[in-house]
Formats: sequence, structure tokens, C-alpha cells
Amino acid sequence: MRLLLLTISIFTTYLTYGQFPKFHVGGLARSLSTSAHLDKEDTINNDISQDFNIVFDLAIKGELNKHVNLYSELRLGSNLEVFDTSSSYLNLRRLLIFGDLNDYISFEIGDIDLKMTPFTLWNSNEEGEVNENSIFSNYRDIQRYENFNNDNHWRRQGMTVFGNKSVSKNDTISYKFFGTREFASNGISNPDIYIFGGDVNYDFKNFYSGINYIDLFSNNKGISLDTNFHNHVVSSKSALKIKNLEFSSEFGLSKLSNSSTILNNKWIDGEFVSLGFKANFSKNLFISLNYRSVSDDFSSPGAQTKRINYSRSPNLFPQVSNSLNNREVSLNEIITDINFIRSQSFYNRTIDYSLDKFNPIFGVSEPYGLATPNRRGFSSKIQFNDTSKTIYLYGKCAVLSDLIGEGVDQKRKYLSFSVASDVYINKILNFNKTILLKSGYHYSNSKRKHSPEIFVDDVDFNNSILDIGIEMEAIKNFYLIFGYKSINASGIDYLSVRNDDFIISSFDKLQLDINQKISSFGLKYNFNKKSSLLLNYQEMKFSNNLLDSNFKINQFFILVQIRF
Amino acid sequence: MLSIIRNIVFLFASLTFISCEKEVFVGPAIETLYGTLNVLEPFSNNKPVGVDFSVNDTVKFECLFSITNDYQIDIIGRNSGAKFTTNGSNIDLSDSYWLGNSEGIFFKKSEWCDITLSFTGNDTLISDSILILGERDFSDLGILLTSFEDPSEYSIVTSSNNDLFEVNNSNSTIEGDNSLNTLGTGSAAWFGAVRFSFNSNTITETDPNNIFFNGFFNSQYLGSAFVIKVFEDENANGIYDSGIDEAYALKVGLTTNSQWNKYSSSFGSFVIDQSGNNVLIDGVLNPQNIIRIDITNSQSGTANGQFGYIADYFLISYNQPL
Repeated sequence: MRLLLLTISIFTTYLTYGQFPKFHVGGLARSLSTSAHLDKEDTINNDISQDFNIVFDLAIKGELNKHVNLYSELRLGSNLEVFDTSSSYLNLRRLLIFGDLNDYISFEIGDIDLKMTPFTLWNSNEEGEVNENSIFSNYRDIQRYENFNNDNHWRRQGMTVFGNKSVSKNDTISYKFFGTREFASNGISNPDIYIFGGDVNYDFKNFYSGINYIDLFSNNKGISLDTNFHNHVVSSKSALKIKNLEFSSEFGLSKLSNSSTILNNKWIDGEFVSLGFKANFSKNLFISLNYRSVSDDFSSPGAQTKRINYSRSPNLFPQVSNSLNNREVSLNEIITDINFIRSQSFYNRTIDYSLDKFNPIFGVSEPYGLATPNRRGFSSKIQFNDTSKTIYLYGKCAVLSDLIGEGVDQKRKYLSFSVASDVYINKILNFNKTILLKSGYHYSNSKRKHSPEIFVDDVDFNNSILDIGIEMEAIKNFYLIFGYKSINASGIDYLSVRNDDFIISSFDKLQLDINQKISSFGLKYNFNKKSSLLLNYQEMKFSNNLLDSNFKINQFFILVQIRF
Repeated sequence: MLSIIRNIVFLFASLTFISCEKEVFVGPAIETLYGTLNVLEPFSNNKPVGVDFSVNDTVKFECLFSITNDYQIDIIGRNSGAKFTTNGSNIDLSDSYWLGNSEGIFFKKSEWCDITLSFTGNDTLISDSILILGERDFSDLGILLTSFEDPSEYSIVTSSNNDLFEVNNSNSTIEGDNSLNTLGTGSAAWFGAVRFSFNSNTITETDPNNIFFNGFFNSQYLGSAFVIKVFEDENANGIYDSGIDEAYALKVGLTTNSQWNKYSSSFGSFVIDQSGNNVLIDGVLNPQNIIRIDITNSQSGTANGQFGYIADYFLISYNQPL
């Protein structure tokens, strides 16, 4: 009997440990060849840009034991513009060690993805997209992949501990705590900057409540700087579901503090309140209504940091019009100005204190998403899918105002709305081959009328984005795609300039009359569901009517993507 | 449970609509940065028939702008070329006035002056004019030594080297009708002097650094200079005793542009004079002991040539130069 037990015991042990390590392998191969030509009127600047990159990402997930797993992404890349394979490189794109210590405690160490709420930690989407078709979304997906913009998560380097536990039969307490390092000190003048945060949530049947906390802080130990900064944000969120209705709320405050002995404003406090209502009237119809009020001094770097660093120049033709004009990162660049070298990308990967610059051609209504300071008002969404999935409709609108006047007693009023639709024309016409018409339109304005006594031009700024595209399956797996995007921005506004302590110190007068149009045509062949070839020609026209500046860029792309 | 939540939501919603409010706008007033400058009320002054500075009249300016702006008022005498400038930053000109003072030479009696109002960062230029009925008396700033109108105020000490050292009537004066006209030839150190004698304790300011000699000189002779020499009566016998009392002096080179120039020198910059029989006693200039001031016609170096000037309006001022 003892021998039998010993045999079973040894066998079980070998059986258990014999499962490890386990490995799963996946990957992606992508080749992108671009050729861009600036119009011939520009005789000073380089008017041709060519690039040819190939990357091969290998993802390995290994179960080292039942508690510890490893995930890594290795990148083998090469710039083949001149077929110089000696310039190839090997990168570790992501390294993550994760696992479950027990039923209630899990952990992740390394490159972790973090998200809380739109007011505390949230990576808001980049601008310029209403409902674009695949000829644009192909490149946008690459940008998001290259810059680790996974949903609204921020990719950070640090560790997180999370888990959940049921107290009774119907409830669950879940938690997550994390710590990341944002900047490494240079040992002389720049301090280390860290983020610490977490949330604790309680779910009880149809009721949910939770607390979120995040602190971005500096540690000046070992350097000459005598001031440390903290930016605390704490919020409470709750939701209640009654049948198809859901009521939710989130309110919180921010505290921006410093330990300086000379700065006057040691504490800047801000607040926000958000109330929401959602209704699923059927499987196909969804409506939401939200009210929010965010104070002018609400400082939440985790939610207000922009995905795009608009203070940088585009990589493609940074100067145009015979060096008269410096280009800004705009619609075309966000989508197609893809750079595989991290340091050269204008996509932002850091969370820092001050409010990031934004490009007002995308509108001034909500440049920092829901967490935009000094906004109050209502927003609403409606979404409809017909049962045959022939038509998809989406609408969104927001009526907001300043919570407090900026530089003047009067408050700005903001109106924005978006409408979008997908129509499968082939289903209406009973064709087998896909004919998909995608369209979207976004409009926003800000208005503020000034007293005639101050002799200051009224605020009246308008922005619109049009997205329209059609995708036709000519023969099996072979698609003709046409896409058109247009963005217009015109009018006058006064954008606040904030000090490092978040105080508005001045205003920049914004006066624009800009139009950008992108026409794109492509041929796409799907080798299978995971692999495709796209040949694409597009023309971008830009005109600044105030400066009487116009230029045109023609681009040709060859994109091959293989996933496995 | 639901009723509690409902009440909380209601209370919270009520608070929401009144929370986060502030009473005053944030940031600097926008009109100070981006307001359009318009002149809402015309530029004028409160002395349309003329200003008599001799009776301490003050010119006040009037104008109303649409926004607060940096402005400058320039006043130029049409005959004398005298200038006065004042700056400010306001929505009107309530901060600006003119007491008849000038930056260099004086404005003249019965002189028309052109007034211009200009703005920083704006091309707007507005003009006005004013007639001076009477000149300002600056003697209240300290002690007016002379404007060469009253011969009892001064005496002249001539030298063997001076060709000319006299007070005469001239069209070109700073104040009044007379001025001092000097000319010397040779390589001597001085070519005559004008002397001012008074009792001790006439100068009431005790700190030499707060006492300024001010005078207007017009010279065309290269290398010309004047020396101001002050004489103390330290033994209080009513006269300057060479070898017993101290003298202090300062030589000032003249700009020889044939135009009136104002010179102001602090007594604190004077140095002990030990020329001739003059001696160092305590090395401290005591202004109350000064009983005599000489202004000489001199030269900057020791060259052989012609040196001289026309001079007018010598004033001792306290606390600040004229």
C-alpha cells in the first residue's frame, strides 16, 4: 500500500510539473513601403520621401509554473530602403511576467497596460476619426499597435497586483494596485517620476461602487532640485442597473501640490462630477445621457495626457512652401506618418504634469476628453443596429459650456455632434460580394460673445470632419477601396496658457481658416483572414486660407500584413 | 436600499449643479491682451488758452481708450526745441500731467508746443498743441544761483587769459534774455570765473550726495570745460581763508556741439582742491560751510587753443538733478 501511495505520489508530482513549461507562439509580419512626393512648387525642401520597413514580431507566452507566466514580444526589423540588411535590429517590444499567486491575488510585472476611468487614468483616442473605412483604419491600427495604444489603456513600465474575492454569495470585491516609473532621473537636475494608484470596487447584484486613486509624483533624492510634486486624483464611482437601465455616477477631486519653499500656490485643488444614464431599449438600440461638471483647476495627468505629442513636427516633410511654413501634426500624419523608431514617433508615451498641447483644428470643445478642465454640460449617444446587420447608425452630441469665464466674465458655449453610418449595400441589393458604404461627420463649435466695451473679437470657432468611404469586393477576397477625409477649421478663439502649477497665465489668440482633404484609393487582397496585401495611392491637399499657403502631398503605399 | 441610493443620487445631483463654481473669471483679463485700441474720447488738455507755469499751473491731459494700453506723450517746444516725455499704462490719461519741466533745455515763455500721443504696438498717433504763457520757476527745487538777469546775484573774476567773460543779451538763452559768454585763448588752466557768494548755512541739505549743481552750457570749442569749485568757511569767520579752510572742485568736459546741454553734478563727486595755497584739513565737504561757488571757463587738458562757452541758469537742487 505504501509503495502504491509512493508511486501515485511520484507520478502525480511528475504529472503536475510535467505540464511546465508550456509555450504559445504567435506573431505578426508587416512590410510597409511608402513613397511620398511634395508638390513641385516647393523648390527648397526635399520633395521626395521613400521608406521601406519590414518588421517581424514574435510573441511568446510561456507558463513557467502554475504561478508564474512569461509573455514577451521580440521584434526583428529592418529598413530596406537601400536594402542594407546590416541595419537590421532586434528589439524586445514587450516583456511581462504575470501570474496568480492564489485565487485572490494576481500580479503583472514589466510592460503593463493600465486603465481606470476617463477622469483618473485613461488614454483617450487620437483625433480625426469619425467612422473611417479600412483604407485609413489599416494605418491607424498600425499606429496604435506601434505605439502601444491598446483600447484606452496606457502602456506603462511597472507592476500591478490585482484580484477579487466574494464576501457573500452575491457580491464581489475586486482591487487593483499599481506602481510605475514614468521618468528616470538623470542624477543631476531631473527627478525620478513615478505613478502609484489603484482601485477597490464592490459589486452587489446590480449595484456597483468603487474608489479610484492615482498619484503622479517626483522623487528628487540625489539631485539638486529641492521641490517635489504630487498630483493626486481620487474619485468615487458607482452604478446601478435596473432592468435595461443603468444609472452611474463618478465624482472626485484633484490635488496638485509641491514642497517648494518659494512657490506661492502650494495646492491647486480641482473637482469633477459626472452623472450618467444608459438604456438598452432592445438588442439593437442603445441610448446614453451624461452630465458632467469639471472645474477649471482639475488636474489629472493620467486622463488629460494626449496620445499625440503635438509639440513635435511630423516626420514627413516637416517644412513646406519653400520653408515658409512649419507643418504641425495633423490628420494625415496621425494616420499614415508611421515611424518604427520609437524616439522618432510623435505619439506620446509619457504621462507628465502640465496639460499637453493640442491641435485646435480638431476642435476645442473637448481636447482632453471627458476630463477637459472647465467644462459643464450634457452629452448623449445613440446607437442602432438593424437585426439583419445591414445598417448601423451612431450619433453623439454634447452641449457644454465653460464652468467659469476665461479672461472674461462670459462663458464659452460648445456644441458638438457626430453622426455615422455603415450601410451594407450588397445586402440591400442582394449581392453576394460585399459593398460597404461607411460615412461619418463630426461638427463642433465654440462661441462666446463679448461685451462691446472691451473691443475684443468674439469667440466663434468651427470645426468639421467628414469621413466617407466605400469598400467593394470585386472578386473573391479582392477589394476596391476608396476613402475620403476632409477637415475644416475656421474662426477665432483664445486658448488658455497654463503655468506648471496649472494656473492660467495668458491666452493665445487662435485664428484659423484651414482645410485638409485626403483622397485615397486602394486595392486589397486578403490571402486569408489574417493576411492581406494593400496597394494604396492617396493625395492630401492642405490649404491655409489666412496665410494663403497651399501644398499637396501624393503618397503611395504597399502594405503586407501576416498574422499567425 | 433603493430608496437610500435614490436619495443619495438626488442630493448628489442637486449639489452637482451648483458645485465647482467660481465668482470671478480665471486668467488675465482678455481685453488687456487682445482688445482693439480705439480712442473713445478725443485727446485734449485742460489749458486750451495756454498754461502759465510761473503761477504753478499744471497741464492735465484727457483721452479715453477702449483698452488699457501703454502710451507715451511727447511735448516739443516749437522755438526752443525743449522736450518733455511722459509714459503710462492705463485706459485713460488721468495719470498724466505736465508741470512745465523739461528733459534738457527749458521751454520758453509765449512758446507754442506740439503734443503727440502714441501707443506701444500701435500706429495710432494723435496730436494737440498748447501755448506756454509763463515759464516754470525751478528755484523751489533748491537755490537758484543765477539766470544772469540780475547782476547782483554774481560777480565776474577775469583772468589775463580770457578774451571774453561777460554777461550779455542774447536771443539764445535758457531763461530770460541774458546769458554768460566766455572765451579764452592759450594753454592756461582757466580763463575767468563767475562767482557766487553767500552766507554759511545757505545750503540746507547736509549730505553732499543729495546736492546737485545744474547748469546749461553751449560750446563750440573743442576741449572746453568748466570747473565748479566750492569754498568752505570752516573757521566761521565769514571769509574763505586759503590754507585754513577747504575748497572742493570738479572739472566737467563740455560737449561741443554748439547746442544747449544740461549738466548736473553731485557735490558728492567733488574732490579736495589743493592747488595754490589750498590745503586738506579734514577732507570732509560740509555743505553748510560753503560760502562761495566759482564756475570757471577752463579746458579739459593743457592744450593751446580757444576754449569757451555760453552758459545760463545755474541752480543748486536737492535730492535729484534738475
